[in-house]
Amino acid sequence: MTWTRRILVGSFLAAACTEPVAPFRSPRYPFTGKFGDVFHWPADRLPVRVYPDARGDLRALAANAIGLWERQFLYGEFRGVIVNDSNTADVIVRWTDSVPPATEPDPGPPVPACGGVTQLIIDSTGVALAGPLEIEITIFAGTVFTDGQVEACVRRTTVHELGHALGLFQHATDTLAIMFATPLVNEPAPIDQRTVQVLYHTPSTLAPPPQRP
Amino acid sequence: MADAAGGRTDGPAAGLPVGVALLLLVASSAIRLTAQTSFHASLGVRYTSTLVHDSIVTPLDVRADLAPALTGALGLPLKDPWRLELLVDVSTSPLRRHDADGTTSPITRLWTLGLAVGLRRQLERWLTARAAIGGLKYLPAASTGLFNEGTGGVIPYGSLAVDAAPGVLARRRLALEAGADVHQFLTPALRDAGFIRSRTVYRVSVGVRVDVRRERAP
Repeated sequence: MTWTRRILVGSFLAAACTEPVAPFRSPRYPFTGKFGDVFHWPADRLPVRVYPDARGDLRALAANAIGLWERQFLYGEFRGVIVNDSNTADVIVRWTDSVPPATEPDPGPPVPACGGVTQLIIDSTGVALAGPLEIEITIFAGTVFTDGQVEACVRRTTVHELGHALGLFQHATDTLAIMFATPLVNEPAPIDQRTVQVLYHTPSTLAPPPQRP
Repeated sequence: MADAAGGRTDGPAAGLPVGVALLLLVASSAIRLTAQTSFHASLGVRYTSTLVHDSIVTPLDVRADLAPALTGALGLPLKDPWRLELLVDVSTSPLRRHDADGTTSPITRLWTLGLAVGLRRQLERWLTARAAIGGLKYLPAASTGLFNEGTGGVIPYGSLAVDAAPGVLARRRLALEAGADVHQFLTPALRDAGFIRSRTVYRVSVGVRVDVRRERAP
């Protein structure tokens, strides 16, 4: 074997030995809708436009949630942006009724001071969403919690509900996941990351709502 | 997931820029001391091999587009036929995800900055070759995706290049340059996602070199 060939073969073997293996993305939780629907925002609809209610600090809460979800992706699969006009939004985030004062979130154990719901409507064809996804954040009436505890609750609930708007239609059974039914953590966990990454590489069966001007 | 506590850490070559900067300082003083210093600049196009190969439902690759590459080289005299070279190299191009179905999606714009020290040798009257080692820094335009926990610090790299200056080009102080370099690539975010080994990345460039300042005979 000539020196040239030895060098070429050696270079090839060196490259082959350092080829990293793609990581497994399990365990994860199911993300399909009630009828097995899969939805995620397609690349040509990024960045997803999120309109937060101007009252309170919902704008900051929504921006925090967008940033946290963006960081779960490695290859630019999701990006979001805050918009000031609800008529141009893909996702609308609102307070249901009362608006809590903006304050520092309490770092203590989570308390059930608030709730949230994400509404999506499927159009008459059954294969596309009809309009913007709507998220409502509710402060539970008669709550006895401090402002800081309420702030911590609405912060993690906003992240959780935006997870639904990204297409994570189901709840996790893992209590450490942000998509646990009553979230106990402040940001997506590794199991949320694995699940949302797989979702964004699974073909959608639902098209996004029509593009708004 | 491996090493979930990863975070922003610089690689073992984090001090490399300081070392190269010191070399450049030494070089700048040498310029005043000798008339035998030279300065070359080259402009070319660079291909970069796949930075990340992953499989999420289907396989995908992350690659930089063909990039313009600008290199500056300060040459200092050594014993003939050798010369010492201090190199600065910059290139930029969009970084894209290439999915298995042929579609591509932009991730961010990527800049790279390389500082290196090398040895150049005259092989023929019209042909020289250079070997260099140095540090390479990835500079993404946005801390997003695979760079959202940092770039992983300065990466050691090695490069080889040959310059050919046939008569017609040499008279115009020009030369054709072809080069290749190799380094290992892994970011903290990729490590957190479960990649446990870095990937060998090759870069190949071709371009034109111009002698901005030629060495003069002593």
